[in-house]
Amino acid sequence: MHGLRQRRRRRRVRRSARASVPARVMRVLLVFRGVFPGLRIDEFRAVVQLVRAELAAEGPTELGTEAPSAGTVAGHKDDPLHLGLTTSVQSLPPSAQFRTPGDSLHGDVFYFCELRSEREARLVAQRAFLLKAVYEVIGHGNSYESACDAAVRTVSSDSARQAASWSDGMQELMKGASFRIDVQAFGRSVKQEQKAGLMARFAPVLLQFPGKVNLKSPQHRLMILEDAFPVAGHQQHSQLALNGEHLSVPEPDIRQVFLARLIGETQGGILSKKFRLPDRQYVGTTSMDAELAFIMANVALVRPGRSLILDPFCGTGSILISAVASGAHCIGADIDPRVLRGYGYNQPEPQSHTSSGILSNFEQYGLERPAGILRGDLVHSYWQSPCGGWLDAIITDPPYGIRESIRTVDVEKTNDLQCKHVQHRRLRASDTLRVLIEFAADSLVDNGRLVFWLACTADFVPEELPQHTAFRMVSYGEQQLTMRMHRRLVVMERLPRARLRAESSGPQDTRVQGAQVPDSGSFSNLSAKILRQPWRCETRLVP
Amino acid sequence: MRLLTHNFMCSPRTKAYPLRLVPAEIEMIESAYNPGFVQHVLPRIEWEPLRATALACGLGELPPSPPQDPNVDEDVWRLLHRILLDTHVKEGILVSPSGAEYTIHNSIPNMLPKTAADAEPKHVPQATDIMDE
Repeated sequence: MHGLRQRRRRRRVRRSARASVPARVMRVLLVFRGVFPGLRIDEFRAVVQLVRAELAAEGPTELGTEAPSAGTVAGHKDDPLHLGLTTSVQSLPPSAQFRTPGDSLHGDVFYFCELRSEREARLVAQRAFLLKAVYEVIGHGNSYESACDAAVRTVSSDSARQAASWSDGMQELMKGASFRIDVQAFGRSVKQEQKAGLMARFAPVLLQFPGKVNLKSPQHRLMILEDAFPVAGHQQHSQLALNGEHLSVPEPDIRQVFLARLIGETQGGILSKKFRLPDRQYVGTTSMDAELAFIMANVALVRPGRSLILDPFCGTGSILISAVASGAHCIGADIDPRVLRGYGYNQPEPQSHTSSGILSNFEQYGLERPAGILRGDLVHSYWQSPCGGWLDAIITDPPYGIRESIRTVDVEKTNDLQCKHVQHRRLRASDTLRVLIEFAADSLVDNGRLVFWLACTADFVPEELPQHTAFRMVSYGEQQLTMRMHRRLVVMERLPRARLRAESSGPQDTRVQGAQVPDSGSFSNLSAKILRQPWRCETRLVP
Repeated sequence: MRLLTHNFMCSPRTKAYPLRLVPAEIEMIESAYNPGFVQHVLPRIEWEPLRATALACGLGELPPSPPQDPNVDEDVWRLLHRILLDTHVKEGILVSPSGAEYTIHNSIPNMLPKTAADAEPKHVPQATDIMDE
């Protein structure tokens, strides 16, 4: 007892010491890829959380690595992670920020953010799929001149205070580490010959680095990042210039320029190439794009070797494959026997009896088998629900009635002993969501995440998102599918049971209220709305 | 299906638990020993049904209560890993307390709510069949 009290006291002391010292932060530049703009920030936040959890599990030696669960980190309501995420254009003079609408097509690929260490930044860059790279900015401005001036101010070691603020990487550079420099332009293409000229503009800075230039294996890589407003006719001009016709190529309309040191690059390209759908043995009409499936695993906070996840509408198992490749143990279930056994879509006959369709995909990639593949109907759930939950995450793409029908087993029509066929009846989209969320509330562990796609029309409003007292809405990033159809990657987090119990007023209140899903919303009746088939209307279906 | 999954399953309509496993064919596929994962999921596992299943599959006897300390009883932890993760049920039957049977065929249990001794339906209902009209 005494020892426990002492330990507690010690912990309290340590915590207060940490609170008094301002946490060391490193301001980094994030460069996102041009794809899935609606999911960038959601994925990035999740990956930071994941990496922090991994670092915390390694041990408390690392500076400031307390567990990052949303409940424990106090902070601004919108930013419990203290990331200080801002678009880079916010720090520019107003004239450079906005032009005509449409200019900023690629403009928000640059973000500033505060991370805890260079190692954390590197791990985040490796894990996130929508992040291209993470840099430390040396100079930033709305022209080459101002960026160079800013960089010169950074490297000038006149004041000792300046030198103390340098990161370890910058200190190495100033002490003679080898480096190389490249140019990356966004919004226009820069020819190799032009690059040397652009590098020369940063000569005042580069001369400050005493190290040698090493193209093959540099210790540090510097990058000139140029963000230009697209110029009409620019490509034709540069083509003519290439043919030897010296026209006056219009000077690029530059929004911002960075000179930056590379911290980490994404590894995602390799994975998404390896798991590309066209090369996969067994796919169906609703297989999830490999890259999106990896992003789903990331926002679900899948931890390698730790997480147990379930996809209750697994289909051809495309989400499971990415989850297993991310290191999870996973279980898949579907109502349709065809998808599980691997015939009906691209294979006319059942394949050999040794491996079913889904499993052959795991074999193709040399992945560990999933923990289980089942045929079952989530409406008649066949999972027991222990009081603390048993799943770390549920990642799924529920059917919405266009390529796959929403259905359940009709127990009344299926005569147990006589009927050979399983009779189905259709369900409304809202019913499926309700079932899914109720199931998730029962089976997710505290802080476990439910991640699913919500297909909807363009008139989606956040108010119609499903709600449940046991869940916190984390994000609902958008992906546009067609002009009329979108989908949202809804991420909900199971609130800790103990907290819910503490907050509830009385013993009657402890039972969580059911899922609140509006019956008619932008996600209902999609087959009727999108395919214009009014006879497939959901309104006459009974729950 | 690994025995880990079996521990979480119950009958679809009545929610009866546990389902007794009658294995017909069991496959052992060794995987890298990962004590972290076993420790992570052990609190979610119902111990008595797991013990009974391990005995039914001839995998050895687990102690009457789950191990607490990850640093002692390494044999028990390894046995748990073998039972939960390395044992795959290929063919067999799951029997609910009320006697309903659910077949496991080709590693895939059929957990649809029907109590007949069910084979896979020969005619697979097409999406259009379900779409009525």
